[in-house]
Amino acid sequence: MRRCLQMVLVTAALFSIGWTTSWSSIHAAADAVRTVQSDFTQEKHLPILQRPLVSKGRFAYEAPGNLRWEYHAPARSILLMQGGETRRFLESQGRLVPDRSAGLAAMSVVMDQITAWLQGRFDTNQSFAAELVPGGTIVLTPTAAGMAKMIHRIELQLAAQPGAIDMVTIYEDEAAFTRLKFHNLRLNHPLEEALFREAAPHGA
Amino acid sequence: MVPDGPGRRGRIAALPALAWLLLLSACAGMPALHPLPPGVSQPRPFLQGRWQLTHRIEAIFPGNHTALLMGALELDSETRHLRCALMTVEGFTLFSAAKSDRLRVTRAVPPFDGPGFAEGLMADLALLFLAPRETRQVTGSIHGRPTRRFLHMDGTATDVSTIATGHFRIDRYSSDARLIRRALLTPTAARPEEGRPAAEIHLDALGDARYALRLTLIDAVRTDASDGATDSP
Repeated sequence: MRRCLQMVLVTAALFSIGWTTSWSSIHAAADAVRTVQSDFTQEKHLPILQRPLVSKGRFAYEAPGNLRWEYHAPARSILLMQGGETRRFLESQGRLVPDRSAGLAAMSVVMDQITAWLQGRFDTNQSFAAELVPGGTIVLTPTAAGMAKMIHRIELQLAAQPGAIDMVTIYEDEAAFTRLKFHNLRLNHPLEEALFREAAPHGA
Repeated sequence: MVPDGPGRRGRIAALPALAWLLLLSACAGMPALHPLPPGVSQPRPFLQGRWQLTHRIEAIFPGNHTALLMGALELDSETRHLRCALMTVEGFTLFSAAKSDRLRVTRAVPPFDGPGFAEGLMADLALLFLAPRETRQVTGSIHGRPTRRFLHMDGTATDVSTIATGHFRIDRYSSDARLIRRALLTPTAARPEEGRPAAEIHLDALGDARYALRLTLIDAVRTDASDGATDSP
């Protein structure tokens, strides 16, 4: 019995380590992911700040393209992506209001990028060259000069759990970067459809 | 309202305080200053030393269009050095700049690259966070509120008033005495004393380009304090 348990643990560990070694194993692991839910902490590091600006939030994803990206503090903001449509709600004077700013179009691009990552498609975006570094790190480097002015590179640290991401760091330059750390990650748990449709669904 | 130019500065400096009060009372758009009773302290809302502040910023434009931003600011009250960054909630830097003697924009993503945006933003930050300098200053009261009136060389003026303990109002007037900016500074309930960063700042731009900014303090660090003093609401 003990030997059997050891074999299961060793097999599981090998599978966990193995999933980050090639693009095909990453794609295979991501294909098995139907839903993701996670809390996150976002740190914005700037040369003018001794302490990073910390934001906290939560996201939910359902394959292939439903996403809810929500910040709780210090500024409440909810991005919803469902059926190819992206909407954002911002807290204004104590209540959530739809965002009608021009910045929403840019956020739609970002949301597409996030859903691509959650589907394991790190190496298919023409805007970035993807490199898989031993140890489960993916480095995305902008291919166009215009994008490179805005983003120096993006580093994604894959988690031990197949199909999951531990951390994303977006470098605007070497001194200014945004780091997202994910925790309380849950894969393949059923999610309410209203999460992706409503800013304040019951129980969200 | 207020004469300007180098030839007039000497005459401005020679005016006694009473004459200033009379002169200012005559200005059309600015309220008259009345004598301040003895022993009443003057408003001092501006931070001293070097600080790093982060704010949640709600910007409201005509038509009730709203934008939500995060702001980072580094300031030095002695050198009047300002460095700032505006970011999306997601952390993407839209604008960054520094100003001491001259303005240097280090990043400006559309629409934050528009003509005059950087100058206007830095002027607003200086109004809210730096005590006016190179000015004539008179003190008095407006509707019983202790007020310091700063008269700038370009003919503009700034009134700084105490509304209640730790609560301040900053009014900025154009050279033709029109009110062009009004800011209300609210302290944290726990620390209503002067010399601490305001927990809330409401700025209304009343000039040709109208907008309102609502700043909520997230974090404050005094970087020149030996004890590393910090402040959070």
